[in-house]
Amino acid sequence: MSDITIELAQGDLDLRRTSEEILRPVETGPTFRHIAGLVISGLVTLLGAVCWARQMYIGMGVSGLMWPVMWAVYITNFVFWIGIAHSGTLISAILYLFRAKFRPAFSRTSEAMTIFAVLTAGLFPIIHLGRSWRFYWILPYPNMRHIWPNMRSPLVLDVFAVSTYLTVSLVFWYLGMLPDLAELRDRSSGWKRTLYGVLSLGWMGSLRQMSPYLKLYILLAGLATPLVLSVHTTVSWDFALSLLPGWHEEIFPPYFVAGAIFDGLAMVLTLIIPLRSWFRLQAHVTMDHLDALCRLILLTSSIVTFSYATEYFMAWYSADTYERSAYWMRAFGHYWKPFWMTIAFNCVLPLLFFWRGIRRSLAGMFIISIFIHIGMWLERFVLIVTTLAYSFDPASWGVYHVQWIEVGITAGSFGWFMLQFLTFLKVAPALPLAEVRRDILEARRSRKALAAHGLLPPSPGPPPGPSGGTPVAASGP
Amino acid sequence: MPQWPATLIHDDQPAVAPVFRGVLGSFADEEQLLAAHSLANEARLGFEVFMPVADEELLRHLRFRTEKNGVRFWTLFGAIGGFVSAMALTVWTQHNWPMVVGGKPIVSWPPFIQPMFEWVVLFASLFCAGGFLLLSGLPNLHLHPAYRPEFGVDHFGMFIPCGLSEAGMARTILAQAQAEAIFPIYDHGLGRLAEPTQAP
Repeated sequence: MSDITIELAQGDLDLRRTSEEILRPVETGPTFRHIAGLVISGLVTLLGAVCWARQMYIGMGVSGLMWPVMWAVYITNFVFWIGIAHSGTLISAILYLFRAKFRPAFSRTSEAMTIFAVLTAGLFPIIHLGRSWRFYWILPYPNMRHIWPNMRSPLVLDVFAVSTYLTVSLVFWYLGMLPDLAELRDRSSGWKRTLYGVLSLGWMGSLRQMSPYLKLYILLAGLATPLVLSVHTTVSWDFALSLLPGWHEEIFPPYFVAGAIFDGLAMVLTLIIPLRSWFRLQAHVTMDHLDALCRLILLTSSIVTFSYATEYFMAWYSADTYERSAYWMRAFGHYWKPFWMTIAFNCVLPLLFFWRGIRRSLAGMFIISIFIHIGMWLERFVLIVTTLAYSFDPASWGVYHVQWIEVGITAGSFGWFMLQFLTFLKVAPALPLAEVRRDILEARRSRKALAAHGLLPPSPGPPPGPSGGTPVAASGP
Repeated sequence: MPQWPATLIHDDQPAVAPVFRGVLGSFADEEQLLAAHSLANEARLGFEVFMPVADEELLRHLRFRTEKNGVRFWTLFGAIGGFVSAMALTVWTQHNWPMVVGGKPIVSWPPFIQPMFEWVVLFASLFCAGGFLLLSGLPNLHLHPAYRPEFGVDHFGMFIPCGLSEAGMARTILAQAQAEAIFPIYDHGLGRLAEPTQAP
């Protein structure tokens, strides 16, 4: 479905009703489903916290980490969650720069997803440390010993990248919400009015505010876009700057970026499909919007597939024994099952999106998105673990087995992510209301222009809404 | 029908020597707002506009040049500041703790480019946000006395600041532009968030 169709369809929407529909989930009490989701997420988070506490108390021996595989599930989780985080701001920023009409349906959800995924990903290097309470040692802070972090290490560069990404994404997300928070302020009373009054900073939509706001938004979108690319590039350097076969590859930065966008788009699908149904947002997140998202997933899936093929081609073409061995063991070694599952879920399954029927089936889209998460998680697992398990010398090969405590912490990370996301849905609208309104007005303009040329029947025009005020008075002051 | 000019934005608040600030028109359609804008310009009256959408096209019609504001300069200063700060941090810290890693020089520019880039973006974004807040007069918990909740939903507002002597002309302009409602605006100087006069 084209942008034009999406645009024109929005012209039928009423501004006031749109506000009410989008703000309803925030203004009404939580439903049973929402409470159940919060309780389940909370319990799973608690499970993860208990597992982490046990690991800190007993030691890293409770995890499956053992020489030669000293990076495994925790680093897999870090890369996975950073990947999810990665695409949120990218979707929002890039689609804004390209003026994509389907952006408002996903931008707020994906920005929120970014923040919560970074907050989840940031935990994993700390969990992986073992002595988690000493995480601050990696920060460049003045100390009596004059010891500073090694600025040539990709692990230190990662700290710069992830912390910058979190800060910029927060600014982009929060300032983008100002008009919506102001509307919530105007609609609420009591302590909620005070809260939203403070959060909206006194936004009124005046000319003085609008002009810098538009400039701010486009500048932040322009700054966030290369930042996003740099973050996953830096994460890929954690591997690519080593000298291990299977890791030391120049293709890693674009390959990681493409994989992250691919999985992030799938996560948007996973979140938005139940959301639009539970919060009755079907008029604003239409099948056309979801269709456009599926097409993007199809595109990024093909880039990921091409990257996999390039990796294998280069391993063969390099004629390097170790490189060829690493890739052979990846496909046919101990971890052959997760490898082939990766190929099936990331390269083959998304091809179903070529069929319009699948792109229009909520169940189909949701199931495929879940399998993409599994596939992308396994991709990172296979990439990290097989290289360490099968490096240069067969005498130093060793197999890694996941332990239950790692499973618990991984499950806890999903609980923590969902807990944050479900809480957010009751605080701020899931769709950028101000942008939805702008699109409605633009659609009305387009309709008027088409009607003027006789290409459309005349628009009924904006419905008469209550101005909330008093009519023109007869007498002057 | 309220008694002109007794209807106040803060009509549920105790009146503290209200001061007449001007006349406000509320429009259901952007074309009416643009008509009021033209008339106010012809009459050489100043005005403030409230709108529910951040729309460049509308701002362009209002002859408000979005590209001419200081946010971009704030962003540029931030970017330069970030670059210099990151360069100083990386070079100075590596000299202060001169550890040779992998035979690389103490000042290894290729890896230092990454923190420099990150801080360019970080500082530029923060300065951009700071510049926006400064230029738009935020944060400001005292809402403009002419602001009405519907301007955040589906109506456009034009406030013409004037004295009582010019109020008639301002009201005529707004009425000519087919304002849905026209209000005299008094400022109570309450110094806190104004409650909306009616539920939106």
